[in-house]
Amino acid sequence: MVEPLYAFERKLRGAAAHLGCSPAEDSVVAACVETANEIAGRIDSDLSPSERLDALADHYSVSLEVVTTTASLDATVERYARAGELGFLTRRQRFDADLIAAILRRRFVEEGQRRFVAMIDAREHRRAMAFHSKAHEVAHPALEPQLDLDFREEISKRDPWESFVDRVASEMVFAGRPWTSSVGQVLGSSGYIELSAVRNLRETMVPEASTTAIAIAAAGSLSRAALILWCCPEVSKRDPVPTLRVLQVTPSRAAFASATFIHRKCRVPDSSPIFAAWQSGQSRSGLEDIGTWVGRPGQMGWTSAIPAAGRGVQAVINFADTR
Amino acid sequence: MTNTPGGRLRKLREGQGLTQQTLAERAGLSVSFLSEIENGRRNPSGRVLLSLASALGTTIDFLLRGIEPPRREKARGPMVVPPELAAAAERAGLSLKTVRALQDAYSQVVASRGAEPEREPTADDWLAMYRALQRFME
Repeated sequence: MVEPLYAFERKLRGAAAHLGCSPAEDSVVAACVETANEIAGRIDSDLSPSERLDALADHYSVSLEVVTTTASLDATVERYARAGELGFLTRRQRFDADLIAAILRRRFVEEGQRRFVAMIDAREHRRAMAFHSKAHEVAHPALEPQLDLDFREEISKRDPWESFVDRVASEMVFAGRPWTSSVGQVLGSSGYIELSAVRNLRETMVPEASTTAIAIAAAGSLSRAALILWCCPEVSKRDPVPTLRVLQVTPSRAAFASATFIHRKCRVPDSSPIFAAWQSGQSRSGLEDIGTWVGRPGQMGWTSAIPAAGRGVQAVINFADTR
Repeated sequence: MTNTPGGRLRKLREGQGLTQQTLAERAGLSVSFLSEIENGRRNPSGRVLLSLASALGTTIDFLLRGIEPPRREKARGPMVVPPELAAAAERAGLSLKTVRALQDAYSQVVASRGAEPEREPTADDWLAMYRALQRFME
């Protein structure tokens, strides 16, 4: 079995050779973004992130099939099977289990058809990830020569290569003039990312993307360390009474690089604006004393939190600029 | 005239059994504009071409110039039947042709992403796959 880190280095070197750049992560990302800019620029200099994604899918000859219901999944699998493309049918059961996406290489390519089809499962809780999943699948051919794909498989959140592809996908798609000129809108009067502004930006520019994807992309553009949190009342092994805890943490690139993290299941302190948002049922922003979360005094942040109708609280914790 | 962008567009649309109305809706265009493009009376912008290409599952390059992505299939190696598939074939009396078709279908998925690692199919998995694929393989 190949060690994951060794495999990552091998893939990074392969991508760098393919792109003609040095085998450093930043160089590979920069080469991909440059390629994406060139592809988008051939169509229009002002493409939105959604349009950039479509332009990349076009360039890499990938058709995107996003299914949001079991009926549409079955109908799509059936449609391809009737056309002689049986691959999705061999994975039909896995879609119900844990599969998020699968790419099929067509056997019967009719004149003008794209060579690859990416099926994105956007049913139920996966719906919010659909835009990100599409970008992820289209970023792969940018990194790997598309016609030489051997079977590869990724396991969510465990594979460092997948995390890297996530970064490449985000930076290839969330770029271009409309995005860069709008990204400043996510900053509130505090000078930090405000979640309500992120949601506004999402609605006006990329409605199909998740708030988390927009916030992470904005944080990346602004080079701030930020953590996007989803908090819900949860019990723990020690505490059987449901308490507001962190259920999901998505770190920005700068947060990842500086090892800024809050652990899953961590209890939200009563002093946090997140707790105030939960208690009041209203949006809250304010200074965040990270010391009260991790028991180490000194680190301060700015939090913007929005409750989601009895389900929990979404929040972004901003840290000081690390660049 | 199928060697013009409009001609290729019309041919693809008709080949997929789509009316101008349906394609126009999918691409966010008016029917009259689409008709003018098909008849070569209007030159679509890059954005419009992108919408049309996405809606038809084709590429801008193909619409504009009739260029298709290069076909460079990997050389097919010798057939190696995994023991689980061989066991399934023996149990169900599958022909070599069917075994090959099953393997081909399985390897058509060149990448997948999930929360759990994909394990090698067992003999039972192959048989279940055969039952699901059977009506399309005949």
